[in-house]
Amino acid sequence: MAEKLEDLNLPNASVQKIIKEALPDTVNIGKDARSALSRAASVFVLYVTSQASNEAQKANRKTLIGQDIITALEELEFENFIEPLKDILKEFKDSKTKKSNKPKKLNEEENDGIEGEEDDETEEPMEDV
Amino acid sequence: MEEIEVHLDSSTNGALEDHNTESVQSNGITSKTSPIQRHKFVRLPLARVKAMMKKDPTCALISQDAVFLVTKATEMFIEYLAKESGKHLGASKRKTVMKRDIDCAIESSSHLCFLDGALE
Repeated sequence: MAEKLEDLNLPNASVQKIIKEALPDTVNIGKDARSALSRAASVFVLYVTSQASNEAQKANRKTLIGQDIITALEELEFENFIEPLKDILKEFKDSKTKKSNKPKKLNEEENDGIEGEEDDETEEPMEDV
Repeated sequence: MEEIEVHLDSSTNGALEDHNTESVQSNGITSKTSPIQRHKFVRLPLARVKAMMKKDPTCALISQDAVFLVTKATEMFIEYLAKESGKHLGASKRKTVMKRDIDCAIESSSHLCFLDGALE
């Protein structure tokens, strides 16, 4: 099982990119620090999920929804994240709506019946990774 | 207005790429167009984050919105922690952020206390 835990870290390259963009160009990040940041991010995911899960349970829901995450972030004192997150979620949803409203092209069948909005109660398999 | 051409690069990391453009073919399917990706919504893989979330035993079903929000929040968190850590460089005139800078950042912020001891 140990190796599974290892797999549940975020990809180093992605984390590195985010860090580089956050820091000034003249500043570097040491390997240990980058690894620590990656671990911190993993802990953050679990932390927020756990809190959000509590919210869902309070509402007698088995499905974690976006609002649970927002509420969790408020509880965990990450209120600063909330407004930007709401904005980008809206864009994300809008882009999904646009796709589902488009007439189906015959090239690819990716848009087949994927309606972006109704997936709150179901656990949709994510896109191929 | 947004003439952003996002030629989606199949499914790099499950990232949802698009920014109000018409040529979106996301859902990560086989659009093997040139990998010009701009304005990706997330830079971390949604599927990986979802797998991490599912490790929580109380978490049975997760909506796509929730996964998206957690992914995005995590990115913001990484940025935030990186910047906070970078603030501790000034005094020592170093140019490389070390782990101890992260530790300092954690100790300085009350809402980062959940990380206390987690990074050893």
